[in-house]
Amino acid sequence: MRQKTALAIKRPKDYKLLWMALPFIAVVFLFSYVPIFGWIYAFFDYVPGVSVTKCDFVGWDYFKLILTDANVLRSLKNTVIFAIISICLSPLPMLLAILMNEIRNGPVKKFVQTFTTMPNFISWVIIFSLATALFASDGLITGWLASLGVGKTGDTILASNDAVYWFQTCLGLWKSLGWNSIIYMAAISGIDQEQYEAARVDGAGYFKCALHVTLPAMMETFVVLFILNIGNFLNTGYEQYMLFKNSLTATNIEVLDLYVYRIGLQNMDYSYGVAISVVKSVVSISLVVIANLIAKKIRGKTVI
Amino acid sequence: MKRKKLAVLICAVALAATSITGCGVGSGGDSKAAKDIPKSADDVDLSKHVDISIGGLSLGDSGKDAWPTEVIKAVEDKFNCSITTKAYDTESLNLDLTGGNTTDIVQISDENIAGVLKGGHAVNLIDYKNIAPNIFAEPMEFRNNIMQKFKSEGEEGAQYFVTPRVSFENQKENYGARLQYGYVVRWDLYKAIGCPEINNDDDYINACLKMKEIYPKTENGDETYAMSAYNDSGLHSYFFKGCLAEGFINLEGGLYVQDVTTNDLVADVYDEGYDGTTPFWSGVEFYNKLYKAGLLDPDNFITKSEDLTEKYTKGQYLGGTTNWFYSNYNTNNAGTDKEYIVLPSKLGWCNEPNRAGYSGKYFFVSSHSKNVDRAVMVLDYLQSGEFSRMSDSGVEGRWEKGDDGMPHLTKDTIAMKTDSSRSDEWKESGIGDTNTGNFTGWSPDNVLDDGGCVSLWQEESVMKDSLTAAEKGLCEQFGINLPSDLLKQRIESGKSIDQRDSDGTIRMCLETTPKDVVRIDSNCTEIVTKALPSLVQAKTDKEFTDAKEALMQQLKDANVETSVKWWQEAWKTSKAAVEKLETE
Repeated sequence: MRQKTALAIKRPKDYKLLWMALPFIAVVFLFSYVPIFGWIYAFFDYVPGVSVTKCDFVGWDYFKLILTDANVLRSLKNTVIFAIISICLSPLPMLLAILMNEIRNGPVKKFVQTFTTMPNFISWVIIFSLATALFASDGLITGWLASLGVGKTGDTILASNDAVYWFQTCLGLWKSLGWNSIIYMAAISGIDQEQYEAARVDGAGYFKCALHVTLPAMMETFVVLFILNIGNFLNTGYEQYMLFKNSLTATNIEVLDLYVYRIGLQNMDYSYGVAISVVKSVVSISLVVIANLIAKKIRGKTVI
Repeated sequence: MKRKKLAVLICAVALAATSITGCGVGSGGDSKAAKDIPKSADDVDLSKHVDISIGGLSLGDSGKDAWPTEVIKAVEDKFNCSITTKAYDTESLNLDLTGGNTTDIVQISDENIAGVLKGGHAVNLIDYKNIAPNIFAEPMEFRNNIMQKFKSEGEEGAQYFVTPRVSFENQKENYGARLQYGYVVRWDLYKAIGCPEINNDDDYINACLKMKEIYPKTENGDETYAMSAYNDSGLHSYFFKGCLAEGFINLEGGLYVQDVTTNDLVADVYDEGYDGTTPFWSGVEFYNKLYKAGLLDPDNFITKSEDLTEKYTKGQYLGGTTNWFYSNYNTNNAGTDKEYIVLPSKLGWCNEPNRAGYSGKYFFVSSHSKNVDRAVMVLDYLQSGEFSRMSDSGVEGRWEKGDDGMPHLTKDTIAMKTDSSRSDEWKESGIGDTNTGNFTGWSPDNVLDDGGCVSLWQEESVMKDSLTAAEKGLCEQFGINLPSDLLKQRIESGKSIDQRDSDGTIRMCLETTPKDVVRIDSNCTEIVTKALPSLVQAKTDKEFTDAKEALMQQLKDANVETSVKWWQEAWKTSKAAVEKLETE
């Protein structure tokens, strides 16, 4: 009887929470689950404007085509390289957060934070224009480097296939570094100040405080983000690469997302584009599950 | 447990239903019962004001600048409707087709025809023959036959599409006032080097070298170059340059071209077995020569159209192949000799008889339209000679009958075009509006019953009035009336050709390219794009030949021969079918 009363009291509270979550569940359902049924297009020879039920059923044909398409392999290789570089550089936002935390001058700290966060709000089109103004053969930086004797006049990094991986990564990093460090800044602000005081009493300076207090406190956040990033391993997006693609960079810059865009939307080969996306999603989900299992083995607990 | 399973099942079914609904069940609108189809225009009730929207891949959005223009207002008054236009891109068009909510009148390209017909999105215009006298007028018979036999998926007694700018037998020869494509030069510099005769690419490169010598840097200290490719248009910079130099018309993408004199199809890049130089290789060799002469912009492979416009505006280019990018520069330097002009190359881009209208631009009335009758009547009127005259020359009053009984533009209309203080009035007049021009039925050079052309701007005296200072200088230098006379003279002397012998109908009647061939072509285009730097930047002839051999091998590995075979056979079939149609 007492148990029943306890449940009756609890229930309204639970419903309130459920109602609050409902809009978000609806959004996730609409934008993340309903589109999954678009996978059906991969099994039909879809013609835009014709109901999918009236299109020819082709079964696994498009999936078999993936296996014989050398471009898929090449763009997959590029995607993996970009992803590995980005994973290797994933501690950088954490490092920036630690460095910013060590800035004691308030206005300077705010300026640095704003200055590093701002690029996140600049679109890739603007960044491309900026890069052209700076790095084209008659660009500001190219001209300056040429005057210093570094590189020839007329050379441009925008037309260098060898520089694609690191140059594009640097641009991406410049754009997102400040923004990605925000979550670590939040984690730092949650660290109990007494830990720092205790460390200082024990004789720790700025560096040791960062190493022995800040860093361990942020590891939890880092691991969670790391695992989520692994899920996005193949999701590099295409805007950046599409803008910077030219005949000289085409071989190394075409990532899987850009290839899907080219095949699906430019060639109107929707079904094949969907088939590649399906494979990509399956691989991404598998990677998250594997990363989660590894995290469980190492840390004894899972993230998802 | 059972409840849980049931919930999962319900969720899954709901998801599937939602998704299938979104998968475009939008089949065609209800076909009208025969009794509902008006027997004549009088049967259509025009008393109710309706909205008619026209959307298309080649159209722009109305609402910009002056809309509705005088021309559009005349149509609106005639049919008691309000007309708007909508710009479609491939994605938005496919989305609207899938949802069945396109505009009332839609313009599509070849790629969309199968979807429109299979999805039942288009109205059969033959059912509405009684209210569409202009579409089914006698001079349109050849175009209609093409639409019925080749663009109706073999359905007997059906015609779903019409094309714009159909040319008739009475079409007048027209070279325009000035050339749009050819060898572009800065008039002041060209004059300064003594106006050397340009008969081929080598002559042009030599002229560019001389111009560079006297003008190595702009007044602002920027380096000058002959030109650059525009990389946002695929291989166009290369094959189009070659088309002008060799006498070809390109098919979409440029992997295949049509010989304007023989109407044969030629594999442009994979030129194995072809006895001659194809446009692509002619263009690439030209760019290679520019590179070797130090005239090519070092940013040749990263420059896009907007960069090109910017550099032209700064005066950094000495030449070019088209008039697309230097209008800002010419406007800024109007009235001086420092304007760009175009000199003729081998092929003059004019006088093509579009007997079946423009290929790749097909208009249909949507079966989902709430006002099918009115939409058909509007589309029909857009196909008329009366509307075409309005579209190109303005509403009556902007032109009038002269003492010779022929229609002529009024002096005020001619003055308005060049008077910058009346630019708003010019836009409001709707004369020569690109958007309207894209859905105009008749070719500007067709002759109407009143004896005048659709476009009255083609009269020599009117064209002469429109010349810029540089163009007037050019005419004075060569003793000609119009800059285009240079091309005319070259054609007469056999040095150049125009498109009068080319037959665009063959392109129009090609069957839809199968998906596997589309994939091969797309892959080949990508391979060619990647090979361009090694070809254009080859320092020696051997380097060039090696790069070409490597490219040919790559294309072969990418199954280009399958594509070539399909295109050659499809072309042969189409050519034979058109010839048969003509003899019937």
